[in-house]
Amino acid sequence: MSVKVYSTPTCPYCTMAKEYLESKNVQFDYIDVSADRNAANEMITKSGQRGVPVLDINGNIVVGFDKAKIDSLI
Amino acid sequence: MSSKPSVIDNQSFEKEVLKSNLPVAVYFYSEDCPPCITLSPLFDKMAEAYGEQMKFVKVFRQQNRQLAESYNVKSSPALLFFKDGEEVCSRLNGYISSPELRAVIEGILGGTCIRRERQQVHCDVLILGGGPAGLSAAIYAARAKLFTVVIDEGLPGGQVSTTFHVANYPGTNGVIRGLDLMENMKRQAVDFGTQLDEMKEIHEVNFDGEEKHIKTQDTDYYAKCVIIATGAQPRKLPAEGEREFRGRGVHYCATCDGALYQDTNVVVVGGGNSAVEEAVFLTRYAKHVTIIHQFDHFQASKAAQEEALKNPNISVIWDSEIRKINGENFVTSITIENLKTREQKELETDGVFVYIGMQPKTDVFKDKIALDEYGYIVGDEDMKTNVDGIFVAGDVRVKKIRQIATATSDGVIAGIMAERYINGK
Repeated sequence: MSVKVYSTPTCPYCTMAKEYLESKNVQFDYIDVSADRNAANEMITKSGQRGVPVLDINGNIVVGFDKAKIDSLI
Repeated sequence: MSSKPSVIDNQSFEKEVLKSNLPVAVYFYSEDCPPCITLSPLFDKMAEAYGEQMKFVKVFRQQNRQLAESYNVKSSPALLFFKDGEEVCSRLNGYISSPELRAVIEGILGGTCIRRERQQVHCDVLILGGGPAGLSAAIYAARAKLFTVVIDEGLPGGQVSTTFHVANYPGTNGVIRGLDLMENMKRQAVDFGTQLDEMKEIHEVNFDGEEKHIKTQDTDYYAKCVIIATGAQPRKLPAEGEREFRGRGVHYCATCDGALYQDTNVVVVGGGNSAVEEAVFLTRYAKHVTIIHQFDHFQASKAAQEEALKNPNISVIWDSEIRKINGENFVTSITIENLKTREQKELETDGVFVYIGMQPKTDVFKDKIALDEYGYIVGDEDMKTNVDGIFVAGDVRVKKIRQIATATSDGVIAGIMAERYINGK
């Protein structure tokens, strides 16, 4: 399973998403889009919007910390 | 066949439950759990009556957390039913009555009970909303040995969870993360025995009569007493295109999404503390921030105003409102109107951050309880509403000062008054 979490350092929902995945023992890449311009563009292209967090779970895009959707994908 | 329920654990669960030839009723219990004290003798009685056809087992939840969690059992008591290695029927939680339990058992034995989607929870105090007000009420109610359930439409924590740092909550170090503060409150409530149900959107409430009924998508809650602590949410920008561009240029959380606006020009709408403080925050990323405010002065505190006005990357457009958001995939400009001259003009921008106040979350309570003209719930100093057995706490209540400390204070009062209400009956 490949999981990416696009996030910013001050975003509370990003922290929630991160801690949730950790609690489920899911391995993921945590990408800070405020520090990585290319990653930010990648996130905007994938999700069609600019809100964080964005999760890419095996190519499925989840916008926001949508727990029910995350549960259905992990 | 033994007619007394046996106590099993992690290790014997597979053999005793999943591989059992008879259907099995599994009772997850804890110590110091008031509804468990009611249920235990009932469970023993059922075991005696139905022990020939069904097996009755008990699991001490605190010592078998992993097992409980693997079945998503988060509270005690929880009754689960298994047949041929699979869970069947609906679970029972909270105060479980004898006829209710008998109906499920007979349903299983008669083969008529297929998995029913809706769950039922009976409790003493039901708290709607898991922010500081709701959790404070829960801490007091649960400590008073009342079976207390908090439901939240999202995740407990309320607005505080989305605040980066909380500076003014007494007893903290002044830099505590909002998330951590709420995690502490949550843990405190749960440790005293509160059941926390997340992702429960309220569909319907019935406050008539002694027993209050609250319906969510998948659960029916019945409570002796209800505390409404649903809080408030940011008011949406009343401009054409707001919904269409939400997340694609229109944002309500600068600490979340501000970083996506590096080297851009953004707009902040509003003139209160949040608007002015977030404008300053956004200058970390944006080249320039324009504040658009409907009056000719800010409502924000002196300190916040001064910090914004001395910042060379912040400018202000007074007496104006946004009428329209323009763009294709993302926002490219906005149309603003000067409220004094009625003149409209277009302003290029990459993003709009909205801080124009809050609105109470009370849609579902309309016509059920007294609200003021803005939709806030009217409560007296004991947090009583106009309906017997319904209390209110936190930002959703009519009041002047809405802070974390005033929300917890409301919650404490509501928790204590709920206890007096129930024990006085």
